[in-house]
Amino acid sequence: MRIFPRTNIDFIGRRHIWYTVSASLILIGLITIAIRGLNYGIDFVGGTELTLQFTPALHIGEVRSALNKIGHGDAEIKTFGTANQLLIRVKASEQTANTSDQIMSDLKSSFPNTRIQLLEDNKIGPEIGQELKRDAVMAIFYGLLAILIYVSFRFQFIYAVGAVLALFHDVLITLGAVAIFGWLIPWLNIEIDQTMVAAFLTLVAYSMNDTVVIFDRIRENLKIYKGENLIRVMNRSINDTLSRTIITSGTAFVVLLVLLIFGGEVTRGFAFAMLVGVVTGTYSSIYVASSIVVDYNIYIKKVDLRLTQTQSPVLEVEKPYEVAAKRA
Amino acid sequence: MRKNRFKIILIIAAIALALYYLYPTYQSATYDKKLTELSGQTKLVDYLESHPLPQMSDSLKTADLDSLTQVFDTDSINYYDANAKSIQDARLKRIKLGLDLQGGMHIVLQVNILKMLEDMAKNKDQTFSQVMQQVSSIVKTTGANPLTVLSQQFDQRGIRLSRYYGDIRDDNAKVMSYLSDQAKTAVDRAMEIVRNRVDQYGVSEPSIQKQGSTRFIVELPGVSNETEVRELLQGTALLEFKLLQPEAIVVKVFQAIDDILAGKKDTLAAKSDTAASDSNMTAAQFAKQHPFFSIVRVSSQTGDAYVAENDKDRLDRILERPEVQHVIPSDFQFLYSAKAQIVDQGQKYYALYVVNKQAELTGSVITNAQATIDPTNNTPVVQMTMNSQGSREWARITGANIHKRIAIVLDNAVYSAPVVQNKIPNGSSQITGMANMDEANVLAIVLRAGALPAPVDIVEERNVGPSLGEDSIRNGVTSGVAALALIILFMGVYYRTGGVAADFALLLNILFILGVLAAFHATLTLPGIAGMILTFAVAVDANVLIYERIREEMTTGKTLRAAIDQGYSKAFTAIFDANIISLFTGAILYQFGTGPVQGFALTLMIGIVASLFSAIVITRVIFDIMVERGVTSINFG
Repeated sequence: MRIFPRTNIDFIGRRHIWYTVSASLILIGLITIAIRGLNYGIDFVGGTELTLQFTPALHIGEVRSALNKIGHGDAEIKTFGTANQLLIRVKASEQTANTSDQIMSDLKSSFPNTRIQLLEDNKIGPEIGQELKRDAVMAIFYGLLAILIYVSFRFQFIYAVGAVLALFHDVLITLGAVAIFGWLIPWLNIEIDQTMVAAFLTLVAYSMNDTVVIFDRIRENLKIYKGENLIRVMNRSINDTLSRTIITSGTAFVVLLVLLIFGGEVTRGFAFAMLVGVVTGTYSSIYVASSIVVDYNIYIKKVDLRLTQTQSPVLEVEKPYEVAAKRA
Repeated sequence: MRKNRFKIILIIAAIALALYYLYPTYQSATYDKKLTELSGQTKLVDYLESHPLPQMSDSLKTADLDSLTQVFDTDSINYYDANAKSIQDARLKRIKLGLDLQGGMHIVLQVNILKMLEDMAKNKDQTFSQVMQQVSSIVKTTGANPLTVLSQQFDQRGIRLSRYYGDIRDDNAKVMSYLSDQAKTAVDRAMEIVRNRVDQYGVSEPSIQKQGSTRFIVELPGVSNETEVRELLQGTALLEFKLLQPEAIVVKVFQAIDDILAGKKDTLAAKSDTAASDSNMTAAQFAKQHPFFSIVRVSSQTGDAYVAENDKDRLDRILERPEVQHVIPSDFQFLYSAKAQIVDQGQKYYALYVVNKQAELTGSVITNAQATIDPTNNTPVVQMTMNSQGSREWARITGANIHKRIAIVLDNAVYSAPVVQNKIPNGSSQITGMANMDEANVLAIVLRAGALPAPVDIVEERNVGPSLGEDSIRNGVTSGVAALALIILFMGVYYRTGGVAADFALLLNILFILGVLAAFHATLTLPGIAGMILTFAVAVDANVLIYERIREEMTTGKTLRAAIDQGYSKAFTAIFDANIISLFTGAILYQFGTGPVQGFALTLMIGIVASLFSAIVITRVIFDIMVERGVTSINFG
C-alpha cells in the first residue's frame, strides 16, 4: 500500500509565503501572551491547590461563598475534569501552613450532606516556584545548546543554525497556541507546569528528529549530485522523505490525540503542547530549517541559485537504474 | 543462521533478562490481589449487606465497625505473616509506582538556618532580637547566607559573637567556625531525626533524599494524613537516656509471655503437640511450643534479644493483647534498635531492648558530641559533653548504675546501649563499641540532635489521594493500549509482512522497557507512561525510515537481499543522529526536572535505546532468517 506516490513538489520555491505565515502565527501568539499573559500552573507560581470531588456536585458559587467565611473568597475555583470535581487555588501570598486543612474543614462543615473527597493537594512555597521556573528555562537553553553543538558537528554550522531557529519557531508557536487555547477554551485546563516544560523539550527533540532525517537525505544527495543547484537537491530530498515524514508525523499525531482524549487531566497539557509541536515540527523542518540554509546561500554567500528556463524546481531523476548505479 | 547466531543469542538473553526482572512485579501484584481478597474491608462490605447494623449513634457505629474490621482482617494478617518474606522481597524488586499513581505525600523540607541561629543563642536580649530582625530582613531580600549576614551585623555594631554563642573567651573566628559547622551538619541532623521517625511510623518504601545543601525530600507512598505527617516531620526531637531493665527479670517476663501464647491456643500458635525435647524439635514444632521465642530470639551468649524485620508488626500486636499486658510490669517499655543489627540470610534483625519507662535524663543537657578515633586502640569513639546541670545529674546516674546499660533513645528508637564503666563526674563522657566510623558519626549526629534539633520548614508539599492515582493508572493504561492498537494495525496494513515484523519488535520493546525499569528499581509515573506511549511512535519511526528506504531500493530493481542490506545501512545515519539528539534532551530533562518529569525523561531514554535495539536488530534478524530460508519476496506493502 502506498498513500504517497513519488512526488515532485516545489517546497522551497514557496518559502516566502510560509515565512509570512509563520511570522504572523508567532506574532498572534506573542500578542496574546502580551495581553493575556501565560497561564502558569501551581508549580511555577506557588500557592495551595486542592482538587476535590463532591458527591453530589456543588456549584462553584456555593463553594466560593463557603470559602468567603474563612477569608479565601478570592481563591481561584474551577471545574476539573468532570462537573463534580473542583480545583481550588489560593495564592502563595495568602497561604499558611495549614490552608488546605482549613479549607477542608470549612467545606465539610458548610456542606454536611455532601461527601467531599480529597483527590490531590499541592502546596508550593514561592521560592520553590522561582527555582523551578529557572530550572525550566535552563533545561530548554541547554537542550538547544546541545543540539546546536551536535548538529554543527555532524552537518555544517549553518544547518545547525537553521535547525535551532526552527526549534525556536516551534517553541514560540506552541507557546502561543497554549496561551490562545488556554484563554479561549478554559475547560481544557491548559497551563504551564512542569509536565508542560517536559513537553516543550520533547517537542524540541521530535522536531529535531524530523529535521535531521531531511538534512541526512540532503547531505547524501549533495554527495551524489555534486555541483547541482542546492534548491533542486533540497526539493528532491524533501520529496524523497515526504512519505516517511507524513507517516511518522501521522502516527505521532494519532498517538498524542489518543493521549489527549483518554489520558486524563494530568497529561492533557502535555499532549496538547506535543500535538501542536508535532505539526509545527514537521512543517518547520521544511519551511524554516531547510529554507534558512537556502536563503543563507543566496543572501550571505551570494550563491546564484536562480533556475534556468529549462530546469524544473525539483531535481528529477528519470531513470532509477542510473541512480542506483551512481549511489553504488 | 550462522552469521546471526550472536544476534539471536543476544535477543533471547534480553528477553530472558526482562522476564527475570519483571517476575517480582508479577508476583507482588498476585500477592496484593490475594491480600485484598482476604482483607477485612471486602468481607465487611459483604457481611454488612446481609447483617445491617441497627440504628445507633455515630461514635458507637465507628467502634463497632472497627472491631468488625479487626475480626475480618485476621485472614489477611495470617496470610501476610505466613508469606511475609517473599511478599516483602517481591515488593522490593517490583517496578515502583510513583506517588502520582499510587497516592501518597511528597514533601520538601528546608532547614531554617536563621531559626537555628536564634535557637542556639544564649543570654538573648533586646539587642540580639534587633540584630536578628535586621539579619532576617536582609536574608529575605538578598538571599545571602544568613551566617555571613549575622557576622557582618555584629561587626557593624561592634558586638562580639561570643556574647551570645560559644564560650565567652572565644574570638569571633572560632565562634564563626563553630556556627558554620553546626549549620553544615544541620541537614544531616534533621534527616536523621526524620528518617528515624518515618521508619517507626511504618510507611512501606519511604524515600528520604538530600537536595542541595539545606533541603531534603521525603516521599511517603500511600500516606494521606497531612496533619499527622506534618507533626511527624516537624515535631521537636526527643532524646532520652533510659536504663535497661535487669536481664534476669526480662527473661522471666519473656517466659511468662511465651507460656501464655503457647497455652492459649490462638490464631497465631497452633495446637501444641505432645512434648518433644527442645533440642531436637523442628522449627515448626518449636514455633508451636514457644510462639514468643520463635519471634524474639534471645542470644544464649549475650542475652540480647533480636526480632526479624518481618516479625516486628506481629510482636507489636502480641504485646498489645490484654492477657499479655497483664504479665508485663508497668514500668517496662519495649523498644527496637533504630537500625538492623544483624543480617542473616537476607533477613534483617533488630535488637529488642526492654527499658525503664521513665527516662533518667533528656538530651537537652548535651552541649556537644563529636565522633573521633581513639588514638590508643584506633577504634571509633563518640565524645559527649554536657552543661553543668546535666553533668551533676549524669554523675549521680552513672555513679548509681556502674556496669549497667543505658540506652540512648531518640524518638523511641535505640541508637546505642553502652555499659556504664564508671562514675562520670564532669559530664564529659566517651562512648565506645561502634563497629565503624559511620556508626560513630550517626550516634554523634543523634546526640547533637537531642541538644539542637534543626528547625525545618515545609517548602513544598504534594499529596495525591489514592482515588486519583487509580484514575491516573486507568487513563494511562487506556490511552497506552489504544495508541498501541492503532499503531500495530496501521503498520500491519501499510507495510504488510514488514509491518508485522515491526509490530513484533514493538511488543518486545515494551517488555524491554519495563524490564529495564524493574532492573534499575526505577519508578513509573504518569508522565513516565506518557513517555512510553510516545516511545511507540519513535520506535516505529526507525522502521518507517528503513522500510521506505527498502521500497526505494526495490524500485531500482535490486534483489531482495541487496534491497534489505541497502535499506538498513542507508537509513542508519538518519536514525542514529536523530536518536542521539533525543537522548541528549532526555538527559538534560532528567538533570533539571524533578519527580514525575524525571520519570518521564528516564522512560524516554530507556525507550530510545530499547527501540533502537528492537527496531534495527530484531526486525533485521527476522528478515535475514526469512531470506536464508529461501523466501524470495517479502511484502513491504
